[in-house]
Amino acid sequence: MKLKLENVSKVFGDKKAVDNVTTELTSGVYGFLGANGSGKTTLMRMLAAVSMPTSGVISLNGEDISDMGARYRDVLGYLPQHIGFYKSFSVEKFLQYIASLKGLEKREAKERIAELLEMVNLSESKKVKMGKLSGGMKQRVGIAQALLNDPKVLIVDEPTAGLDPKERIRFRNLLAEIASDRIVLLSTHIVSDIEYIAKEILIMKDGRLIQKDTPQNLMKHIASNVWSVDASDAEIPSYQASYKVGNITRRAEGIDLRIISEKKPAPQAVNVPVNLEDLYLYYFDEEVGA
Amino acid sequence: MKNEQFDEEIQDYLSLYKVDLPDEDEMERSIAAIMSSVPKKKSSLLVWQNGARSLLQNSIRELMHFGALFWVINVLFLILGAITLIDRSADPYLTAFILAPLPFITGTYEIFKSRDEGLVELEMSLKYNTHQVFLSRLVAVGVMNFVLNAALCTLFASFYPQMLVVKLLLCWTIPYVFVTGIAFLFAMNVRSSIASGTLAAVWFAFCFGFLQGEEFQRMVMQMDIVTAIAILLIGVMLWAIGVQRMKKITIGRENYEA
Repeated sequence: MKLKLENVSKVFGDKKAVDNVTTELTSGVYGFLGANGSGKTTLMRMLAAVSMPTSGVISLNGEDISDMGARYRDVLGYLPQHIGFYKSFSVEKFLQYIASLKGLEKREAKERIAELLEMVNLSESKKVKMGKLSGGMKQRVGIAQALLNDPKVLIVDEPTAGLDPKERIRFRNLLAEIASDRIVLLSTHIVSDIEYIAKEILIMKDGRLIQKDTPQNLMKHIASNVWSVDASDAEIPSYQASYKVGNITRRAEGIDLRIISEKKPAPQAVNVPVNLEDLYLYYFDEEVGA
Repeated sequence: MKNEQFDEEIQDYLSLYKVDLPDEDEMERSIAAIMSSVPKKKSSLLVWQNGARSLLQNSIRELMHFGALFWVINVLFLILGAITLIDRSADPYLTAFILAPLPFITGTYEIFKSRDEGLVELEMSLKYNTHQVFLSRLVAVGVMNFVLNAALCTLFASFYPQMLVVKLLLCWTIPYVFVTGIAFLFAMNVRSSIASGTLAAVWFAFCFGFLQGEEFQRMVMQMDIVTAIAILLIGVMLWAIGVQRMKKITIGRENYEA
């Protein structure tokens, strides 16, 4: 299976939200990383057939998805960043309704819903009205609905928002498990969500796709730019003014600063192994001060 | 200068090549070979049949998911109509006129509820997408309204054999087509819970005024057939505009955050 983007752009007025993206995706998990306004959500919406590209073509196995229409949507699972629910519907009824819109037969839907409710740990809440659910529970219903039709292309935008750490790990493992024979696209701010499961990471900046590679290669690329520096309280502001400072860890013997810099920030600085958070800081410096 | 020389060299080089055209037989054989792979064009009747069947199935599904309030209100309208049958002092023409658009007005909430509950984004990615869902609900509410009106009018006609059937038909089709056309356009631009309430209040206020003003009442009730058809046509036009605009509800969502 191959999802191909060729020169895909999306323009809103005079703003180019997605700028000439060309890439190819095959089975596996792909993580989208990008700051707010980088074009991740717009790109995902186009891949989910919710929005049309202003120019360029998105194709699945060589066929333009806009020509495929309902046939594409039939193999698609989508969890939008902001999802609404019918408050008066119970969890089970809501899933039954979405299953019917996905074209599932009643009996098939019933079995699948039971299976998915178990998977997202909501079996005991199936009769609870959607309006009474917590944010995390609603998110889990959102995940379940995306998986109802056993999609070949699964697009999830910030799926772990509102989930507790245990649920996040559970969901992460679930994605890794199902990705063997399907394309899973995952957009997130939480880098640890994709660190272990992403086959490749796509980095978006100002609407452009600036990097696409395995997490290991991307991290290798900046290996010499991540430093650990012992500093005092008084020195922190000057480091923050001059460098991208990541974690600030207080230890008994002093303060340890994690700094992203192409040159050695201090004589006592030592190179340390890179993680995806460093990669994020490296590409999205505007986020450092946030 | 160098480029020109280079171009000439390439031209000479290319002129040495000959591309043989296939003969007619070869072309025919190629066409015959690939003919089996060319998708057959479906007949327009078949496309229409499939579309109608799908719309009907979707409308029934949507009807099954309508809220209890919709059913309760519709049953109340039917009971109200039945009461006027028992209370012989009420004018059945007026009753048919007043009740005709009410099921649709209350149904506008159901038609656009996914827009108001933030579900359009998800619906657009589903096999039966937002356009189909809106259209199915529209058909479900419209047909439901039609069936209720028809049932009520059949009851009226059987209880009052002296009634003029054509007049009775006009009494409910005019508000049914015209008022629901306006209601449809209005609900498209306003939150559906507000639209339902506002439209019902406006319709009741109009009917109250209508019942008070005898001259106006007579004018409407004794409307000539040409005027009635003209109003019906305007109603149909309002519906056509509404259906066209409905597409823009989803297209409008294109102006979304990056």
